[in-house]
Amino acid sequence: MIQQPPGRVDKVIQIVAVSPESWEAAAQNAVAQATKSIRDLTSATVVEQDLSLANGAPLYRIKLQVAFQVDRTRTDAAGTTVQVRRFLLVANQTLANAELSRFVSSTLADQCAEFHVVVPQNAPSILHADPATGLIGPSAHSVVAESRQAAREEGEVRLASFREALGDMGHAVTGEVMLGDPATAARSVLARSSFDEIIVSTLPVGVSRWLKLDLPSRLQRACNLPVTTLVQEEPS
Amino acid sequence: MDSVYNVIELIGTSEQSWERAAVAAVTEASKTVRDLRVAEVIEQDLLIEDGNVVLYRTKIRLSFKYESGE
Repeated sequence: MIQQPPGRVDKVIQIVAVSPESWEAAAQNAVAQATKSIRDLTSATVVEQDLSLANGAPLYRIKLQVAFQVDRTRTDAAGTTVQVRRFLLVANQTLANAELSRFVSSTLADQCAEFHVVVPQNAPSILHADPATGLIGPSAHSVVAESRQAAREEGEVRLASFREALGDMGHAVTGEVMLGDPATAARSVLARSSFDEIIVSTLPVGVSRWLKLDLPSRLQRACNLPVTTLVQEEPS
Repeated sequence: MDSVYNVIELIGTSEQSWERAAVAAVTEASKTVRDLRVAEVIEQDLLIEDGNVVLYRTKIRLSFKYESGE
């Protein structure tokens, strides 16, 4: 039912979302979440609808097939076809640094480019035993779940204010928070979408854990893309 | 008596919901077709602009009795 202009290449993924109100609300949730991390969402087709009746009240569940552009061809406001350069920005604490948003903004102003930000957040995944009994009780699971949730929220806040700062300069970027180590986070984004260059924004040598892990060289070896390291002062 | 049926497909759109999109298609069809019985939803999709859902579309299959005009 949805048309696609000739010559364009779209990648297709399936997403599932729920809503207590309606399938429409569930679809809107799905689209709203997907557009946070995917640019140029072009269409969504309903694959499946069902009701989850687990807790007495029905929950509307919808499975959507969404398509988005993976090639570099974009149409600008004037209707002409342009080729973009796609940057993957790996940053966490330095997102709050004004120097970084200025750098991204000037890059976007100079060339036809797109930025996707991945915010890797450290999160504990090891369960600690109760010191009194030496056993891993149910409380250990909830402690881990809580701290993972806190780490994700912290990242979301940083990402949101970074996107807001760029929005104020008239630019839009996509982004997402990922729990775990930065190399794995970046690689999982690279597996899903294609990029031309990686930028690692990190704290100075000595403070930066990412530089200690040698993240820039690890990424370069893993994906064979040019990697630029931006060293930023710790935001005050 | 043997009968023959027409089957047509229509796409209705609505800014609010897939239900309204389906109703729009049926309402339009009922202006020109008599004795509509069942409308079957065969496809639903969304039109997205700038990350927002702007249109719900429902494709329906309608069948009605073929009248030869005799």
